[in-house]
Amino acid sequence: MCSLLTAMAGASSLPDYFFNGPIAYDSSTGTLSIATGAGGAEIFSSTGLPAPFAVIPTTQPNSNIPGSEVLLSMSLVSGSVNDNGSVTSASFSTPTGYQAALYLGNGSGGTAATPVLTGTLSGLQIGGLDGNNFGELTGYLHPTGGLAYSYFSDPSDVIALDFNLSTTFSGAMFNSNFTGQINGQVESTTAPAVPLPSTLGLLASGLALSWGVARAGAARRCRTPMSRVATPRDGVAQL
Amino acid sequence: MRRCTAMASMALLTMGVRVAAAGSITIDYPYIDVVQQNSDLGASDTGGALTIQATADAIFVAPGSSMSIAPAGTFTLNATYEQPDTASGDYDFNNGTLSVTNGGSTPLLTATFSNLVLETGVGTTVFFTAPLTYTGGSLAGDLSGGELLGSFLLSSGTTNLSQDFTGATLTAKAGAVVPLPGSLLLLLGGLGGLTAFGARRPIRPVP
Repeated sequence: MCSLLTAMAGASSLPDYFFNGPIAYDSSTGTLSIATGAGGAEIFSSTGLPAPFAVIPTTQPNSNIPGSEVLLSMSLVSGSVNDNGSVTSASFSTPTGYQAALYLGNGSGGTAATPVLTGTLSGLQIGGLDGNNFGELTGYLHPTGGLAYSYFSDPSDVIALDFNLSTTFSGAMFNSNFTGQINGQVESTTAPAVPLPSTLGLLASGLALSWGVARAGAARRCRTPMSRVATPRDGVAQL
Repeated sequence: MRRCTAMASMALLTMGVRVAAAGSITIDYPYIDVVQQNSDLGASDTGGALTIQATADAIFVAPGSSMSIAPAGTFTLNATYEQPDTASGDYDFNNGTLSVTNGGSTPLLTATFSNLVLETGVGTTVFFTAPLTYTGGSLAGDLSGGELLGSFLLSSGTTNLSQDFTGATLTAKAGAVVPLPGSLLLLLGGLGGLTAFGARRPIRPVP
């Protein structure tokens, strides 16, 4: 039974939030931001998270989606744009103390209430093949707070596909403004270790209770007349 | 003349057909969003037979506006390795089929393609693109086809995609589609209700 429960705990998927929405790059400030507010990015799905942190369209239609927000803004690292003739990449950073934040539509009440996850960012990099209007953003999120804080590892992965860009990848792409769409995820690299101990505790107490009930039942059966075993003394008494 | 050109452009957009330059893929709204979840396969190529399997869980109708696919759909793509592409680091796959199903009697979308290109060069990331020819499904509507764009991270194998490999953290999108069935049902229900209301015999006052 223990091995079965352990296997079940291991089968749970990694905590993951999936988001999707518009992005914009401002060349005057070197800032790449995910759009917020109406028409901005939203969290549209999740895995490995319990309610009310979960965004599961199949069982919870859209209840956590409308009004959800992803606050993520980063600055181009000066001199980091590299075009090797076929691939362009660039590094981004955030100001000291800046925290990205994810808000659910109802569970955390949008931007007016508690975020579901906050964290600092590191290792942000965008790369794409020259001539393509799509590429990828990778980096790490170091959780610092939020309602689902305990479910995400430090670091968690940030992986996003950038597409429908109004520009194409090249060494000069960050010299001008551009817009596009981002489809990304914040994924814990390890499964949370929270549920197993409590499950084992429940199992142990359940087994102890079952054992106790079984013993009490056996003792009761021994005391009933039908189950009494005749002894020689019984026979003497009858005589 | 300008009006004709605008109308032609609109018609092309409506049909989900977009003439795109090489390397420039535009996914038109509404599009099906696909992500690898739970026990999804992700991407796997064995002996030149490529399979991609993930979850289609939402349709994005506009930037920052989605509707869920409930129950979630299963996105399945099969293709056969053909040859290295003329572009360095790219690999061509053909004989492709794609389907999105969610347990209903009618698939949500079926399509074929003959030119799936897998692109490497950005770390372990693999991008994939293909023009799609729709062959059926409730989301296809009258559209003749669209585009597929996605990416995954190599989890085994090398960036030489003529050899076996597997990929994870897969995401993809296919568009444009026509997410009409739900709306159509609502519309038909509403029209039915109106018809029933209109056909109701008037109540005559009791003398």
